[in-house]
Amino acid sequence: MCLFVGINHAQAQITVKGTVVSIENNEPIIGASVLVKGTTNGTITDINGQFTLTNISPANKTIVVSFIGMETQEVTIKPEMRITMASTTEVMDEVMVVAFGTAKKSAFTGSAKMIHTEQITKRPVTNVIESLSGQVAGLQMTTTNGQPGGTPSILIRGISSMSAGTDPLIVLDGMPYEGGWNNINPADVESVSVLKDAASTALYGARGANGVIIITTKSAKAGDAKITIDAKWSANTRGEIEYDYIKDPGEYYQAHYKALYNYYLNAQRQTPDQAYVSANTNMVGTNSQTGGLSYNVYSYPDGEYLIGKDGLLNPNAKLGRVVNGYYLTPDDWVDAVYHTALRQEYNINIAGGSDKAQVYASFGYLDEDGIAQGSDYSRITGRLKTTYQAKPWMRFGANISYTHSIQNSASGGFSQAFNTAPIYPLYLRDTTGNIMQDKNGDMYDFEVSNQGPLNRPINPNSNGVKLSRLDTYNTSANTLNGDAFIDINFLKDFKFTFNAGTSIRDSRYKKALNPFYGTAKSLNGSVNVQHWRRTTLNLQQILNYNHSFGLHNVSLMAGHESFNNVYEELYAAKNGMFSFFQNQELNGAISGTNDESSYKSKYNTEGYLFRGMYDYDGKYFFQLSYRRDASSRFHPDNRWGNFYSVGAAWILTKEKWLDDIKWLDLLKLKFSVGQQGNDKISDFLYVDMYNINNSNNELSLGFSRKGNKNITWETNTNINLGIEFEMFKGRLNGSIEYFNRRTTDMLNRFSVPLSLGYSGYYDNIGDMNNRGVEVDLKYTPVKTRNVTWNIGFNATHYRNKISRLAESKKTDVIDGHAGYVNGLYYYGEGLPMYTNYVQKYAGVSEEGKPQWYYTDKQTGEMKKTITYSQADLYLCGDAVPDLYGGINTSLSLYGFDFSAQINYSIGGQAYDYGYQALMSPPTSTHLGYNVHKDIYKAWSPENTQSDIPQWQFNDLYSVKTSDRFLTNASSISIQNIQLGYTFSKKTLRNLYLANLRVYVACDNVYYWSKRKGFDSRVTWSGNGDTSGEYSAVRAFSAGLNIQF
Amino acid sequence: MCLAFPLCLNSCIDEVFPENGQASIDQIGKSDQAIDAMVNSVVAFVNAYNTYGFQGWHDFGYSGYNLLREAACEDFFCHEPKFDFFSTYGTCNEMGDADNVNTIWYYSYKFINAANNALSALDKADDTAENRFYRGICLTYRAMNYMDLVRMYEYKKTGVEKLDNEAEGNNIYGLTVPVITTETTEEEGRNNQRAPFYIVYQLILDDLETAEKLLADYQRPTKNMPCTSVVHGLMARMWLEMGSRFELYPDDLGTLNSNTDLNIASKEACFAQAAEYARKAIDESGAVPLTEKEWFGGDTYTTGFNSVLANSWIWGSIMTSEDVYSYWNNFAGSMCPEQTFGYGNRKWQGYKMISKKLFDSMPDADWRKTTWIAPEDAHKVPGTKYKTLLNDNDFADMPPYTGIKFRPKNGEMNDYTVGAAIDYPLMRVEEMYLIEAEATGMSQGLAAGISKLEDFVNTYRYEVSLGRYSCEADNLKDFQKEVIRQKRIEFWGEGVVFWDYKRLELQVVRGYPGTNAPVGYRFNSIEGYCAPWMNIFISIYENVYNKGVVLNPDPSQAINEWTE
Repeated sequence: MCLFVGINHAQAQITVKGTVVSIENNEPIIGASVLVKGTTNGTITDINGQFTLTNISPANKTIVVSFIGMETQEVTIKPEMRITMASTTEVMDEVMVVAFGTAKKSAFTGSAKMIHTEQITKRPVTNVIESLSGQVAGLQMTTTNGQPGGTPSILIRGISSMSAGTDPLIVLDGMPYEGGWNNINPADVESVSVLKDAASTALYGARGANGVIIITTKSAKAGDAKITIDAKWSANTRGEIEYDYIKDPGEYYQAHYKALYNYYLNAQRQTPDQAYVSANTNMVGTNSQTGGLSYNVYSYPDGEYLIGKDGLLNPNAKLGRVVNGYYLTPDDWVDAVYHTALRQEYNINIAGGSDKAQVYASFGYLDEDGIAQGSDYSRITGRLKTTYQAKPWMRFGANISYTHSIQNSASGGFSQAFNTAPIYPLYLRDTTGNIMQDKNGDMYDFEVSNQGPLNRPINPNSNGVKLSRLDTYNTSANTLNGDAFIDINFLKDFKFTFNAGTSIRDSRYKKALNPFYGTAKSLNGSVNVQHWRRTTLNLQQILNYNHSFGLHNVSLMAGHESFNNVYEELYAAKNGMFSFFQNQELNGAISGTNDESSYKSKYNTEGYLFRGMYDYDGKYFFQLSYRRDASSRFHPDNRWGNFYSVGAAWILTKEKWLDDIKWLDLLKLKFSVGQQGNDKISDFLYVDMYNINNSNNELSLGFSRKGNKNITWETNTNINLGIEFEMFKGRLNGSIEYFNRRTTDMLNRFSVPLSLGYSGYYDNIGDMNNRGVEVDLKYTPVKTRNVTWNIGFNATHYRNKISRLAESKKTDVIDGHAGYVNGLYYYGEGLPMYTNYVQKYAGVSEEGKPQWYYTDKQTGEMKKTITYSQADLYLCGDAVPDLYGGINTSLSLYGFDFSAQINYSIGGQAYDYGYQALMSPPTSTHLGYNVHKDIYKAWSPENTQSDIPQWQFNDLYSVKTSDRFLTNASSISIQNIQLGYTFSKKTLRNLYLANLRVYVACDNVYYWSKRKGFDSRVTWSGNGDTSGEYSAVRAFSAGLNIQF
Repeated sequence: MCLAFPLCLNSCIDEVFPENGQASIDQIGKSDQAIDAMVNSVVAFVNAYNTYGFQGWHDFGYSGYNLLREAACEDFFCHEPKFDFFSTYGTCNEMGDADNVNTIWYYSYKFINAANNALSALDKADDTAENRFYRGICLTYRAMNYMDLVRMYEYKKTGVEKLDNEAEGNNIYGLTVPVITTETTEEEGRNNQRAPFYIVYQLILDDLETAEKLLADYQRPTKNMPCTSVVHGLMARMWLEMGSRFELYPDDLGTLNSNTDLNIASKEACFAQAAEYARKAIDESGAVPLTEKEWFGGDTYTTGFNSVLANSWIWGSIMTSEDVYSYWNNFAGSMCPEQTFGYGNRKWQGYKMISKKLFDSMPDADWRKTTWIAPEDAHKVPGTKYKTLLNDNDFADMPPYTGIKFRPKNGEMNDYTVGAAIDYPLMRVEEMYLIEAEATGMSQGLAAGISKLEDFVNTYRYEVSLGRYSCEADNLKDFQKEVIRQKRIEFWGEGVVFWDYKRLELQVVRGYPGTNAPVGYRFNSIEGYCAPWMNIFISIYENVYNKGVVLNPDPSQAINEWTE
C-alpha cells in the first residue's frame, strides 16, 4: 500500500493524500477511517480507497487508519511509505456479545460461541436457529419435518430436566424475546452468541438454566450510507430418503398373497391347494377378517387367479380393471403429494448516519412454497434501528421490527401417501380410464358412501391428497417488537441504562374443512378460528461503573429486571358453511358446536442482579455475578431463588516465562461455576385445580389436578473448565472445555396410587447430571494473498445420568438401578435419561415364529420364548450419542469462495418406527399398508436362517415392540455446499457498486444412517415416530448480494 | 432507580390467577357457588369425558364404561372390528397392563374422589336442608361406585387353573378394593390393602342407608339426581348381589356376620330384601315400563332410549350439547346406527349387533325383537316392521342383527351437537321388575318367581295375541338364567347384564356354529365358572404406588378362541 504525502512548505499546515488497500487482495478499502492522531481531524476513504487530509499541523507526526475487521495501523507521516493493513487474525480480540453487554473474548471467563452474519445468511434459512446447526459445540438440534415455517428445537449441553422445559432462553438485542424464531429476519442479524456455562448465563437467573442464545441485529455506523441488496432463489425438493419398500403393484399382491397363503396353510391348517384358493379368493375380497384388500387392479381371464401356484403374478394379468363402473388402476400417491417448490427471498437494508445519529433500516420479503400440497409460508419483515447521541452524556435509541407472516400447513396427505400400498387408485376413473371430473376438478377415491367404487381398508373414508388440496389450515400472524434504551453517563465512571422492550405477537389460525368429501362432509363443512395474542413487557434498570486504577480494571453492574407475559386466546367453531371457497369465517356458517373458548394466562418474573468484573493488566480476570429472581409459577412462599456464578481466567501467554515459545500466540485457562434456575413448567402446579364445567346448565367444579405448594426452582449447577489457544500466527486456534451440569431439585411428577382419585402431583424430587467435553478447532492451512482455506471442526461428547430419584418413583430395581418405567424407557438412578427398556428380540423359532428373551427366575439364565407376554424387558442402551458435532470448510481463491458443512452424530439408539410399520404383516385391522422389501428375507421352510419371522396374515406378534427396532442412531449429513464469486473492486468501480457476490448452493444435500430411510436426526429422545411426517427439504439455491 | 434496593422486596411481583377453564382451590374457597358446583361435578361425572387423559375411545362417560363391560358378555358385537372401541373384553388379548384397562379403575376412583371432595366440603359447610340433600346425593354416587368396584375386581374362580392358582397363591379370594373415604390420607393411600368384601358391603349399605334418610324429603328437580327410589333401587341390586353370594359361598355369610354388625339371617333374607327394595323403587318412583310405542321412539321414532323423560326411567344422566365433546366419540356415535357423525353407522360400518343366539331365542310375539334386524330382512327395505328414521337405501346397508334401539336426540341424524346429546339410563323400572321376580323366586320359591316373571313379560313385552310367554324353568338355577335372558334382551347396550354374569358366575358363549361374533371375539368361558376376563385386572399403577394392593391375575389369552 502506498501513501503519497505531499508537503507544502509554503504554508504552515500540510495536506496528505493517500490510498488504503488490503493486503489480502490488494483491493482498495472503502470507508476506512483515517485520523490524525491526537486530533479530531479525520476523514474516511472513498470508493477508490483514497483520502485527502488537509490542515495537518506539522506537530502531528502520525495518522491512525482503522477499519472494522482490520488491524488498526498507526503510520508516521513521511514522504514515501508502505503500510500493511491486514485482517484481524487474533480472534481473541473479538468482541463477544454476552449477558448485559459485550466482552472481549480474551477477557471472557465463560463459555460461549459467537456466529457471525456471513454464516447466518449463507444458507436459505427462514430462521436464525437453523443456521446454528453443526456450528456450535455442545448444541444439538432436531428438525422433525420440512413444513415451511417450522422451527427446529435445540438442546445445549445435554438434557437437563425431565418435566420442565429444556429450550434455551432467547435474548434479542439485550432483551428476553418471546416473539418467535421465525419473526426475526436472518438478514437483519449481525451475530448470534450461544452462552453455555453459568458464568455467561447466571445473570439471566431464572431463565438461563438451559443456556442462552443472544441475537444481535445489525447496526449502522457513522459514514456514508450503505445499501445492501440480497436476493435468493431456491428450488426445494423432497429431501427424505425413502425406505426400500415395495412399489410395484404386482409385487405387492404377491407379498400379500404370501401372507394369506401362510395363514391358511399354518393357522387354518388347510392343504396347500386349499390355501392357494383361499388366499387368492380372499385377498381381493372385501372382508377384512379374511384379509381382503378390497381392490383388485388387475384384469385376467375368468376362472384364473391373480397369483399362480408359484407365488407369482398371473402372466395373463394386466394392470387395470373395471369394478362397479369404475376403472381401477393404482396411482403414485407420494408423487401426487410432493412437488418441487420455489422459494424466493429478497432483502434490502440501508445503514448510515452521522457521528451523532445512526440509522439502520431494512425490508425483507420471503415466499416459500411447500413441497407438499397445500403448504407454504410467506413473510414480510421490516426493521428500523436508530441511536442518537443527544448530549455528550446521553445517548438513546430504539429498535423496532414488524413481521407479518402467512402460513398454510399441509394436512395429512403425506402420511397417507407414506402408508398406502401401491395398489390403490388415488383418482376415480370412468370405465374408459379417464379421470372423472366434478365441480372441484379431478375426482378422488374416498369410499362408497362418499364417492368411490369400494371401501379401502387403509385410511377408509378419506383421501388425504384431495383433502390437503382443498382444506384450509392457515395461520396469519403479526409480530411487533420494540426496544428502546437510554444511556446516561455521569460522574465520569458511571453509566445508567434504562431498557424497555415489548413484543406483541398475534396469530389467527383458521381451519376450514370442505363440505364435499371426507370428515366434514356430513357437517356440511366446518370452520374453526383461533386467535391468540402474546404481549410481553420487559423493563431493565442498570447501573454500570467502570474504573481503572493503574493496571487494575474494575467494572461493576447492578440492575433490576421485571418481565410480564400475557397470553390470550379465543376460539370458536361452526359447521354448515355457506360458501367453502369464498367465505371461511364463522359468520359464514350456521350451526354452533358448543366449542367456543377464551382464556388468558399470565406469567411474571422479577429479578435483582449484580455483576463485578476485575482484571489485572489484561492477564488475570475475575467475574462474580448474582441474581435474585422470582417467578409467578411458584407459590408466593417459594417464589424467590438465588443464583450466582464466579469465574476466572488467566492468559498465560502474557506471562514473561512463556515468551520463548514463539509458536504459541495465546493460551488461556478459564474456570467458572454457578447456579441457575429453571421454571419452565405449567402454571399453577402449586395449587389444587378444579375444572369449570356445565352440568345440565348449572355450574360444576370438578377436581382436575392436585397441586403442591412446596414446588420451587429446579437448580442447575454448572461447572466449566476450559483452555483457549491460538498458535502458529493464528493458523490454528480453538478451545477445549469440560463441563458438568448438575440439575438438583428436579421437578418431576410424584405419583400416587390411582385409587386416590388423582395420579400425582409435581415435586422437586430428583437430580440429574450431564458431563462432557467439547472441542472447537479452526485451522487455516493456506493463507496467502489470493487463497485462504479454513477448516473448522467441533465435537462434543457427554453422558447424561439420573443421579437421584424420589423414593416414590423407585418402584423397580433393574440391573441394580432403582427407578421406574416410563413408556419405552426406564428412568433409573445411575442411568441416562432415555434408556430404552424393552423386550429383547431373540430371532425366530424353528417354526418361524418371533422369539424374545426372558430370564429364568431360578437359574438366572436368559431363555427364549415365543409368547410375547412372557418376555422380560431389558435395558437396551440409550439415545444420547457418543459424539456429535460438525465439520466445515471454506476456501476462497481469486474471488471464488467455496464452503461445505457436514454434521455428524455417532452412537446412541433410536427406535425405527418407520421400519417397524413397514415390516408389519397384514392383519384384519392393518390391511393395505406399504411393506418393506426385507419381508422377502423372512423365515420360510426354505429359508430357515433368517431372523425375520415368517410372513403371515394376522400374526399379531411378529413386529411387537422389542430391541429389534432399536437402531444405531449414528448419522452423517452434508448440510450445505456453496460456491460463490465476488467481483473485484476494480470491476465494480465502474458500476458504482461497492460489492457484488453471486453464489449457488445446495442444502440438506444427503444423509447416511444405519438403515436406508431411517432418519435419526428427528429426535434426541430416540423415540419419535416421524414416519409419514412432512418430508425434510433439499434446497438448490442461487443468490446475489449487491452493495452500493 | 432499583439499584441499592434491599433484597427483601419479595412481594412486588404481580400475583396471577387462573383465567381459563379452571379454578384454583383458593378461588373456590372464596366463591358462594362452591358447594353447589362441587356437588354438580359429582352428578356430572357420569358424563365425564377423557377422564384418563387421551387413552381410550370409550372414555366418554359412564355409558362408555358400560359398553366395555357389555362387550365382555355374549350379545354385543361390532360389525367392523376396526372401529370397535369397546373390544378390550371382546378380543381378550390385552386385558392386563393396558391403558384401556387402567382407565376402568381410574374412572371409578376419580368418581369417588369427586364425591369425597364434595362430602369434605359439606362437612365444613352449614347444616342446611339443602346441604343435607347434597350429602345424600354424594353418598348415593359413592355407593354406586363402590358397588361397581367390588363387583368388577373381586376375583372369582374361572376354571383356568393357572389363574385360579395364582389367585390362591396371592391370597386374594374374598378381597375387593381399597377403601378411600374423606378420611383417607395420601400416606394411607400408599399402603391401602384391598378390603375384604364385608368391609365394603358395610360401607355401601351404610352410605345407602344414610342417603335414604337424608333424601327422605328431597324433591328432585330432574331425574339425573338421586332420590329415595334411586337409593332403594341400588339397595335392591346390592341385596340381590349379597343373596347370590351367600348362595354360592355359604361360608361368607358367617364371615360377614362375625365382622360386621349387619346380622343377616340367611341368603333368603337377602333375596327378600332385594324383592322388597325393588318393589319400593317401583312404587315410589311411579315409573311404568316402556310401552312398545315408547320403546321404539314414539310416533316419529325420535325418543325412546335417549330421553330421561321416558316413563320407565327412574334415574339417568342428562346430557346437553355442552357434554358433547367430540362429534364421533360419544355414546350416540357408537350406538345409534341412524346418525351420520360417529362410527356406528353406514360410513364406518361400526354397527352394533346382538348375538345370533339371543336373537333366535326371541319369538315373534316378543315385540322387542324388531329392535334388531332379522337376517332374512337385512339388506332389504324396512317396511313397517322396522321403526327407523333411515331411508330405504341406508336401512338396506345394515347387516343382520344390527340394533336400532338407541336414537339420536330429536331424531337429528347429522348435527352431532343436537343428535349426540342423548340422555343415558342408569336405572329403569323394568330392572326392578326383573330383580323382584328373581328375588321372589329365590326367597319364596320357584313358582312365585316364575309368576312374577311371566306377569312382567306378558304384561309389558309380548303381543299376547301372537303367543304368551311362559317360563319353562324347573329349577331355580334355570329360572335365574331365564331372568337373565330377559335382562339381556331388555337391557342390550345398557351395561346391566355384566353384573349378573359376574354375580351368578355364568358361562359366556360367543363361539358356536353359525355365531355372528367376529373372528377374534369367539371366546367361550368355562361352564360353572366366572369368565376369566370378568375379573377385571387392577391397574398396574395401583400396585406400583400402593404397596398394599395385590393384583388380580392377568386374564389375557387365558382361553383359546373357539374355531369351527
